[in-house]
This record gives sequence, C-alpha cells and structure tokens, in this order.
Amino acid sequence: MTEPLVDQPVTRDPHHPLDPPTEYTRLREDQPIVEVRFPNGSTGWLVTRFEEGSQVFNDPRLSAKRPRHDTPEGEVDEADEAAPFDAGFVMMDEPEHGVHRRLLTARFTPKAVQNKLQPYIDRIVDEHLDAIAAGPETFDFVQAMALPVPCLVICELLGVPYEDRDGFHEATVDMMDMGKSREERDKGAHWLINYITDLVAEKRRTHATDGILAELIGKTDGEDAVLSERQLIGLGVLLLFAGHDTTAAMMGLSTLTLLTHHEQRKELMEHPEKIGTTVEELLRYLTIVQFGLGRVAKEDLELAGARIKKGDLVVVAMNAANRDPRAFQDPDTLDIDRKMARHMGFGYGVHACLGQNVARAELKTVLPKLFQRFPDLRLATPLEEVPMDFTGTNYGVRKLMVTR
Amino acid sequence: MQISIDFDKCCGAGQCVLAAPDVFDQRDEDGIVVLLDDNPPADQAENVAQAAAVCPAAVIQVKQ
Ligand code: HEM
Ligand code: SF4
Repeated sequence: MTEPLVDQPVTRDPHHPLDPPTEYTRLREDQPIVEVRFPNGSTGWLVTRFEEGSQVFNDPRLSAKRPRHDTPEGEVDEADEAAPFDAGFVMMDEPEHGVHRRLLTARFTPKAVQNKLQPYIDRIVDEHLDAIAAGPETFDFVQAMALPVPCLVICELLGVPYEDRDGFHEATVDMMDMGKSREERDKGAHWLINYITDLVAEKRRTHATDGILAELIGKTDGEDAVLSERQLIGLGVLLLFAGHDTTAAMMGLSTLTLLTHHEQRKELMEHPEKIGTTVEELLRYLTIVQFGLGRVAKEDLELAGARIKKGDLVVVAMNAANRDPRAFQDPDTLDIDRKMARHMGFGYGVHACLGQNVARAELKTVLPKLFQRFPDLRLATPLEEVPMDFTGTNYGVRKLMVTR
Repeated sequence: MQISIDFDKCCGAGQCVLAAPDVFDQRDEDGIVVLLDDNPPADQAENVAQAAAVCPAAVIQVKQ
C-alpha cells in the first residue's frame, strides 16, 4: 500500500513573511526526502535537508533537463516543452553544459566584476541615492533602487538599452508569476523572445561590439559558429530575465529584512566591513528561489534511503535546506556574523548561479551605502502590510514604502 | 598538503579565488580555475580548506 502523498509546501505564514512555509520544518525533521505532489499536480521527490540537497546537485546521475514542477495545477509538460525559448545550458548536463557555460564565465569572475563592473555599480548607486535624497521623504524603495540598479547593470553587461526596462521587466514579471495563467506567462516569454530577436538584428546591422549579446553574435555567425540562432536568442532572454529580476527581488527583501532586524542593522552600520558575511547570511536566510529546483533521474538510484526510479523528478527545496539545523546553528535566526562555508541561495553544483558575483557586488554596494546615507531609514507601513510576491518564482516585495 | 582539481567540472564561479587568492586564480579567457601552487605552505591550510568547501562544483581535493 502506498501512503497518500503530501503536497509540496508553498504557502507561507503571512505573519512570518521572511520564513519559508512552516510545514517544511516538519517534513525536514521527519525524513530527508519525501514523495510529494508538486503544485502542478505532478509527483516526485522533495529533498529538504542540506547535505542530501547538495548530493542531488552534484550527482551526475541526475539530469538538469527537467520539466517544471512549480506551474499552476494541471500544467504538466515534458522538459522539452517547458519554455517557449531555448533554455540553453540551464537544462544541459556535462560535458555539453560546461562547453556552453564557458562561453560566458569570463565576464562573471570576481576579478572581471571588480574591474569592469564595480565602478559602474558605485556610480549608479550614488546617483540613485542622490535622487532619493532630493525626492519625497516617504518613497517606494523598489522603484527608487531595488529595481533600477539591477536593470541598469544587466543592460550594461548585455548591451541592452536602458530605456526599454519597463517592457522587459513587465514581461519578466508576467513570465515568472505562477499566480498567472499560462497564456499570460507565455505572452511575457514571447515579448522577451521578440525583443531579443529585434535587438540582435539591430546589433548585426550596426556591427555592434558592446556587451555580451554582441559577443555571442560573434559566436553564432561565421565558419566556426558554436551557437545556433535559437540558442543565441535563448541565451539573451535567459540573461536578461535571470540577471535582473532575481537581484531586484533580493535587494528589496534584504532591505526589508534589515529594517525589521534592528540589532543586526545597527551592527552592520557600526561595522560596514561585515557586509560580506551579511550578504551571504541574507542569501541563506531569504533563499528567494522559493519553489526549489528540479533534477531528473537518468537511472534507478538510491538517495538518502529512498529508491528513485529512472525518470523520477527530484526537487531540492533550497529554502528548507538553508534552514536545516544539521548544517546551520540556530538556522531561523538572522546572524550577520555567522561563520558558514557555503549556503544554497545560488543553488549548488555545476549549475550554481553564473551571475552570483554580479549579484553580490550589487548587494554589497547598495546595502551599506543606503544605511550610511539614511541612518534613520524605516518602514512606512507595518510589516504585515508590505505586499509580498507569494507567487513569483523569485520571492520578494512588490512594493516597499520607507521613510528616510 | 597536496591539492588536485577536476578541471573539467570547474564552473568558473571563482569562490576559490576569494577564499585563497594565493593558491587559486582563474583564466582570463574562460574563468577556469588555475592552481598557482599545488603544494602550498601550511599557513594556507585554512584558506584552502575554505576554498574546497565553498566550491559549488566540489572539484577541489586536498590531501594532507
Ligand atoms: C540574488 C540574485 C540571484 C539569485 C538568488 C540567483 C539564483 C540562481 C540559482 C538558484 C541558480 C541555479 C539554477 C539551477 O541549478 O538550475 C541560478 C543559475 C543561473 N543564474 Fe542566477 N541568481 C541571481 C542572480 C543572477 C544574475 C545577476 C545573473 C546574470 C547576470 C544570473 C544568471 C544565472 C544563469 C545564467 C544561471 C544558469 C547557470 C547554469 O545552469 O549553469 N543570476 N541562479
Ligand atoms: S570555486 Fe570551484 S568551480 Fe569555482 S572557479 Fe574555483 S574551482 Fe572552479
């Protein structure tokens, strides 16, 4: 007899908006891996502990080519049909994944980010702080900083005109919102595909040399081409949405978190050199990729005592794993002095976030400068009234009204 | 201490360089890890252990 499956927890306690769904605690304490029904009705395995989650991400018997599990009820697809655009190396395994990822890695090393991007980030953050100082005392931090800065940075990196930001941001939000219908989400995806297609045509026409998109065009055209046209467009779409929406969500949520943790904020203001560990702790504590990441078994295998069958979907709930008391002491406490080797906020394994050093640079610049410039910054509404994005693939705040 | 690396699996995240800059670097052209010293002095042990632990692809092996 098989036990009735539990549902993957996706609903947060509205009184604890910074914590993952409480149900995860029980699942994680019961067993490391459990059979579940995912939000879209498909079934598979859910891993809630840190060590076992790490194993999943680093096991070559589990493939990154996976169907979506986090779409609304009834929307179950094969991996191939999961996105209207080519998901590129996100869904590839080694050695193919490495070949494609390495077309981009040079731009994303700590050194490259420090030398080529950091001066730009410093400048735009200062400009946005100036604009805040010149504007009304109470303002929406999302519109004033958390959204424009990541948009500007991805535009600079890719070679995308910043005046198009409203279009690509709206399309991204539509595409990533699991509270929206498939039609609406696909509309967002197609907007991005058409946008990148037109931009690539424009760059070809003008022989542009600015940014990653122009570089990738060079790897699509000509004798020794390594990318197909469809892959080129897919990569452009991927970088544009993955590069800005994640970081924007993280910046807004991090600010809300520090505004509600007074001791920790004071500690950071007195010791700005702690910004490195602060950002890592926020990435762990908040784990904005809120529905987890899937992998598919390429063969029968055993994992933490569970018998996984070839073709089974295994999802790692990173938000649960990052609160695993086996891996972190007092996991539900935000501690900017926490000593930890690593966390799973950027995933883990060969697919670990390509843009992580860019995201870190933005967060490490904005947070200390913000509280230095506006030491009295405070929430303009009670925490309970901050509109949270419960349905977005990336958890965040929709709006964050603050007073300087 | 003896360090070995599975270069094929390195995903170029550069976390090793931040943890132990005297021991690891990355190639400019594709971000793949470069081992500056495969037998670093004992005072690097802590940094190297940190690099091995933080590496998302788990490709750094350390033998004492
Ligand atoms: C705080 C901000 C960010 C978070 C929390 C985040 C999170 C993640 C996670 C969890 C993955 C793993 C996906 C998987 O294993 O299937 C990932 C992959 C990826 N991220 Fe990020 N990300 C952030 C910012 C960025 C930025 C700024 C960029 C680009 C400029 C970016 C580009 C990518 C790409 C291209 C991948 C695919 C890597 C691969 O499959 O090899 N991300 N990200
Ligand atoms: S941390 Fe690991 S994956 Fe990243 S560059 Fe260093 S060796 Fe490569």
